[in-house]
Amino acid sequence: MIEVKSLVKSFDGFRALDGADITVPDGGVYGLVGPNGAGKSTIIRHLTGIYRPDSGEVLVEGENVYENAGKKALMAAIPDDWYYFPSATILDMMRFYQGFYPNFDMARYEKFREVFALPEKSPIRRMSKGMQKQAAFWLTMCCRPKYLILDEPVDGLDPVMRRQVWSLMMSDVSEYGTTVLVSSHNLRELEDVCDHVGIMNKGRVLLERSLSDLQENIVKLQAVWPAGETPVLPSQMEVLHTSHVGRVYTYIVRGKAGDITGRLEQFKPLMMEALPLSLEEIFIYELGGEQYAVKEIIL
Amino acid sequence: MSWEVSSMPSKRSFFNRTLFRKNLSRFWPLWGGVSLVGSMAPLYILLALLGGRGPYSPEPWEFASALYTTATFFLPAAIAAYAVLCAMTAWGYLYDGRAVGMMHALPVDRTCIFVTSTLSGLAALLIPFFVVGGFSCLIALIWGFLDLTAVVMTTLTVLLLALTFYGLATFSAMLTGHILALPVLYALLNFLAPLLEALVIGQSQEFLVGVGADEFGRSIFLSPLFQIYTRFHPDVEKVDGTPVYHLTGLWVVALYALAGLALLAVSWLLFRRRHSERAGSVVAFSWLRPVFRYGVSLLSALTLGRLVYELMWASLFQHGGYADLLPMCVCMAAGGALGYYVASMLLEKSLRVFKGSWPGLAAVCAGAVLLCVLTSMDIFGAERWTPDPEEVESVHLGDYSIGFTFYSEDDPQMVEQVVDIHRAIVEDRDYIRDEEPEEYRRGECVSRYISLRYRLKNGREVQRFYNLWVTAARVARPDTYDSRLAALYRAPETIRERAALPKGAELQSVYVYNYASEQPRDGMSLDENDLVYGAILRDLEEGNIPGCNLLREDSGRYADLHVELEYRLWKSQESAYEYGYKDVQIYPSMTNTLRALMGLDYVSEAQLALWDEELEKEEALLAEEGGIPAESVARP
Repeated sequence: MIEVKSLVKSFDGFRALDGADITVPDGGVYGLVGPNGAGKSTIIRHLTGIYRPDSGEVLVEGENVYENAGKKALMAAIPDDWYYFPSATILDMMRFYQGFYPNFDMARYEKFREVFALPEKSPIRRMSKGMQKQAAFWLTMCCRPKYLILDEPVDGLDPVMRRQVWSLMMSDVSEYGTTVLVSSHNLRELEDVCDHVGIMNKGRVLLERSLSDLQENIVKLQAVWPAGETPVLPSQMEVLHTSHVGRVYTYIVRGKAGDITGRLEQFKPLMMEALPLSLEEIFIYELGGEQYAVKEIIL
Repeated sequence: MSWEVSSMPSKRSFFNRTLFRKNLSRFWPLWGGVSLVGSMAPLYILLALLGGRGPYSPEPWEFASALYTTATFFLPAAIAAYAVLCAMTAWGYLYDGRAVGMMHALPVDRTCIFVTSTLSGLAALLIPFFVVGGFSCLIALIWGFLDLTAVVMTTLTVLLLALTFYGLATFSAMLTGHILALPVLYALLNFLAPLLEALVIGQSQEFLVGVGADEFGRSIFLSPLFQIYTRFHPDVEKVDGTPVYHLTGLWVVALYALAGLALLAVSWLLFRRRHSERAGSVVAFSWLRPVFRYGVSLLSALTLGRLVYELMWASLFQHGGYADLLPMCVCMAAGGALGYYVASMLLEKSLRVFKGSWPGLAAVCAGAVLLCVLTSMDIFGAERWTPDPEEVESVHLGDYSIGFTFYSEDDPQMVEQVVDIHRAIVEDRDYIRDEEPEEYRRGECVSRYISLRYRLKNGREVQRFYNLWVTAARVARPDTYDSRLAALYRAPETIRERAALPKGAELQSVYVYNYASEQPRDGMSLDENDLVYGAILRDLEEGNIPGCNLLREDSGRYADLHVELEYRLWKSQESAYEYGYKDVQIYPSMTNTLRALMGLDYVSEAQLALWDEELEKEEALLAEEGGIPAESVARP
């Protein structure tokens, strides 16, 4: 299990992480989402032992990860800006990783050669961004990590290769119980693979739940009221957003769908329907409450 | 797949072979290229030996001499320069955010990375020297001139120098977060202490009368390259007629190597504390930011500030040889402020550093002004200092204007006389500091550049330099330094000093210069040397040599004739003989000398013309050419 407890990190007075807490259960796929500058990459750099926390704890299997070679050997990461030595080839980088990761799997390396079909002996710097990302996946997956940390992992990959790498990762999750923490802005994709989600903003984790919990606790309600009788909703209901097109009103309300529809029945709607929210909608409406919303700018 | 294998507590490792190999293989062009270029020297020797072009068949002592000469003259500078390149290869990753992210995410701890990178950098540093050394030794072995002791000592020197400079380069690498700042910081750390010392002394010289550059040198021990070049050299002695070479001062290099090791240990501590996110910053630690900011300000005030003063004030408005306090304060404050903002821009990586900067700026300006004022106030009393004659072991007075030096030897009376002159100079320091006297413009004044070097009984040496005005009016006043100097120059001891060899000196040669003669002469024989020098000594004994006229030192002597005495003085085992020269002016009263020179046919009666007569002729000629009456041409 990965645990981050009250993590604080400042850069020259700027507080990038302000008491962040996350818990990634073993064998799960955890999606870390948040706006730009929320602190996702900073938290990932702490998880991989690059940054030393100002305060708080970053624990892997109950031990601090910073300067802990044993725990770092269980982890592999693909950062957004994967580094390779300037004149290195995939083969060079494979030998390099092989010298560090005790579980490096040569058989897997051979097997993935067909999957990725990349020129092993060409300098990586001459490859396209997408090919470099594939190379990063190839080598990282061969490290056989127990914990896989990914920052914008499929950014730059074509749709086929996106599916390919997600499929490889998911098979590792199901087959070997690999724990994946992934940070991405592609919420539609995350929705398909994540079972836990943490939403970050301004260096804090605003909420952290399993995706199903999250989706059950927030409802999109569409209702049509009789003409001239738009009701004032009870103040106890936590309405995150209201909009209407003609007589069709849309409400984003926190709570269970059954409870909310039951309470609104008293206003006798002509039609009422509770719809599940996508992760993207949850993200937008949750952050809307944090003064992070789409601004309506008229040019 | 079982995770247990990898999650078991692993044995702590201090070295990673993969990283070591990678570091070396990535930068092979550097150490390979240096090895190749270095191998040109033994290759040249090999080809010369194979082609029979060598000037002689080499002996082991010649091999030892070559190795020691290389070890002391070439290796310190070569290793100092190459060490920083090796440190840049080993630690270059620290300055790139992406690279540091990859390296520090690897499953090894910082100690392992530090040890491995240090060893790989040291290996890259040493490989070329061992390749070139090995090649040279192989040639020496085949041709039978290998000196094993010299090889061992040179190898030891290489290792010690490598530790010294690699330690310093690694320490520099830990302090900065920018690859280009590393060589700058390394060079600065190598020379910072003597540089600062020279700048502070230079600043004092702007205000204080007599304070000289000789004060420099107290901080040289903080500059390894300086000190190694000063103290580390080859020596030779003859054993059974064969030269035996050895290295003197290797212990100094060993001490610096120990310091290098200590710096490596400090670097390890810094490396463990260093934040990965400092990649790209000029300084790697937040506590270094004020040190950098105010350090650059100080250096800028002492260099740029003074430069601005010299260009904008001294050359245009300054009267006399000493600085004006207020303009100097302004220039230093301006220099400091410039340094402050440059440092701030480098630290912030932005040009927008002015907002809210006034407290720092005020501190820098106040510091610069305070430094100026304190220096001008002579708070350490350097300007006012004169020794107690009781504490002086010996004093040396040199007059650079006429190339005359005077040693007090162990004569307490002469020591007192010189100290008395020194006191008079110090008393008159404000007069000296002022602009040139009226008499100078009228041509009735000469300037004398005097140095005083005391060796005190406590072993300390103190030196002072004075540019003194000497006027006829002040020579006539007994309370002035002018009159006391004039008295010293006329004293029998001074006359002896100018004409006789120092105690214990051996006469080597006597050179007679007669510019009136068109016949070139060969050097004198030993007998002739003794004859001429004996005649000079007789003139000295008989009081035929007059004292020097402080205002007109050439007055009364022959214009075209003088004698130079070359002598040597046994100093110590370390530096063996010290050679010196005495220039003896010839006066008409020196009858013995003149007789000897004429007897040896070095000069004839017709060639003897007094300096004053020659000067009068020149003046007359000048007046004739310019149509000016001879009487109106001013004499110096």
